[in-house]
Amino acid sequence: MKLLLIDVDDIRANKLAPIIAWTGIDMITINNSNADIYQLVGEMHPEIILVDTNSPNRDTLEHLAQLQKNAPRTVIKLENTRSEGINRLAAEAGISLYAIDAVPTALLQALIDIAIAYFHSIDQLRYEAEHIKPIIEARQALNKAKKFIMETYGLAEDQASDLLSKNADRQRKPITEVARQLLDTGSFI
Amino acid sequence: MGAIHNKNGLHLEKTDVTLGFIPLTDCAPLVIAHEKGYFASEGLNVTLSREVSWAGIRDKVGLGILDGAQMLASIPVASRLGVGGPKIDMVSAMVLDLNGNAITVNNQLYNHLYEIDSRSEFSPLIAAQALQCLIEENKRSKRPKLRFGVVYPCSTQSYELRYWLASAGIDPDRDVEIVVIPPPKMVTAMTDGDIHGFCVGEPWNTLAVQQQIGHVVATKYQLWNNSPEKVFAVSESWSKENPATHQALLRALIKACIWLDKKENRRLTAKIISQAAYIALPEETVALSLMGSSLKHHGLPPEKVEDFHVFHRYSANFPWLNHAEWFISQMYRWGQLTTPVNIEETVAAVYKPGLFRIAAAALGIESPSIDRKTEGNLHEKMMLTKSQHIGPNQFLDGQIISVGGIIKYLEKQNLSKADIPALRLINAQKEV
Repeated sequence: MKLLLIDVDDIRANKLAPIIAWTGIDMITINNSNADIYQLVGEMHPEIILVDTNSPNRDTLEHLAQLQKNAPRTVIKLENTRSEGINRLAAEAGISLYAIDAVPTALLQALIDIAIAYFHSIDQLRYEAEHIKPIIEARQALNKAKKFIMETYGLAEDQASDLLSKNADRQRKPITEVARQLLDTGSFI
Repeated sequence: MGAIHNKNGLHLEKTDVTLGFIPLTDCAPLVIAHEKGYFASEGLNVTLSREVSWAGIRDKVGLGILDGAQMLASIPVASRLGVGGPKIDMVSAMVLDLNGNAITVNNQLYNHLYEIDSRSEFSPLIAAQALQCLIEENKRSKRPKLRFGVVYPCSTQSYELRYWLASAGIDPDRDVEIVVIPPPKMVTAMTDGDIHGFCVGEPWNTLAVQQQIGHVVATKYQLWNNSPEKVFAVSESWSKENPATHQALLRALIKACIWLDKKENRRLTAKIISQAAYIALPEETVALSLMGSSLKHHGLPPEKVEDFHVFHRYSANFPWLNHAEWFISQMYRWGQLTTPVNIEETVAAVYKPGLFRIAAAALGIESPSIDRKTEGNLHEKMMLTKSQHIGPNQFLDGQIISVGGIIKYLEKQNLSKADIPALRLINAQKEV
């Protein structure tokens, strides 16, 4: 089975390439805005086309679908299943899907799910990592501050925690700020 | 989402709205409604999203990525029927403009037509007949077919190009090759020799003539006076979930269209819409047709065509049901649609004159009291009872479509692939 990837930039294409290769589908990448889409599709007979949602070549793909009964056509809804996946593929990955009628719905659904999961996992992980960073840093500061108190004053861990939160209450500051202050200056004040 | 009230105390279901447009002169109603603050004064926070393909606009509205968009008047109808794409239930309660397109051929082809009959310079009918002679000659000498570009398979431009070709007996599906190219790439495709002619909206025809690569042989106005070009469309489900927001959008767009139709505002319009965020072409290129100058030939002064772009007069914004019927007739004529459907029910599901009347009435504007009108019978503008006037509405081939007479009209069209008996059967009681 052949899949044509049109006007999808390298960053996204490189993300898709390994999983598509893994499914056993041949992927051909076209990233030239002046490519003759009529000739390409006519010669390659792809079963599936993934195209950038904002590609100007999309209207030509629509025309091909109308000219030839066996050309790939837009898929925006899969029978008996939710169109949510296709929606997310367009909204989150910026990719629209064209397929010939003969491609089984189950295969398309699987392809969409894999693509989204993959796009999502990479982008989401990066996003989450960015989000988690300050939280991790705050925790680290807190732990270090506790350790500092325990070593300096010879207190137990719960007593160190207690001291930190009491100081935070008194100074009306978040506990992490008090912890950082303690680490920076060696003093609660 | 909480209830939000705009300054008129009206409840809006949604205030943050994203609307799609294509860089063409007739994106003006959306741009002006935005730039002149008509959206804002309705309590709407509108983001305009520049799109590059009609398929993209169509799908994004269908999927809810866009709330609404500028659309070719034929797209909501084609989408409802699943012609040339997936079936998406869209509605349109407002036409954004009339006219505005033209057919341009490259210099070489124009010179051939001019040699065959010099009246090709000003007569679209004669230019088409000259083209027919040339095509016969090409067939005899086994030359390749001429290639014409349109912007979308089910576009107004596609039906206009086909109408022009067929007026001289040229079969658009056999005698020439029609390819789809997005508007901003059309002029480049002609320069590169990929296509010999195209039908596209402004400012791309003016640009081709200014760059001295082609000549305009017909305008949309000459093919069918004051015919609908772009509409504002939303998905049916969106319109049901956001009725008040929909009305607010319609009011803002009607106000923009009224402003746009004033002659004294056209220069400023060109200045605004030619900017990089919208059309991104020189102001002078965009200004010509907006100022009522139809530039057809390099080396000759432009013709004065006051109605080259109509945004409001002639009841332009009213979504006439018979206009949607005409699009369906052309889908049958060219074999894009083969299943017989109930035409009256289909158009009433897509075009929403009732919704338009509510928006217009809120602005104190009278709407036509009828939903359909005769086409092809007016040389001059005419007053309608209790409403605005309507404009000339003649067809290039002199045909007349009476109200309810769409199948009778379709039956008279040459080269047609329509199954008239099947259509009669489904639409039996409807025909006059």
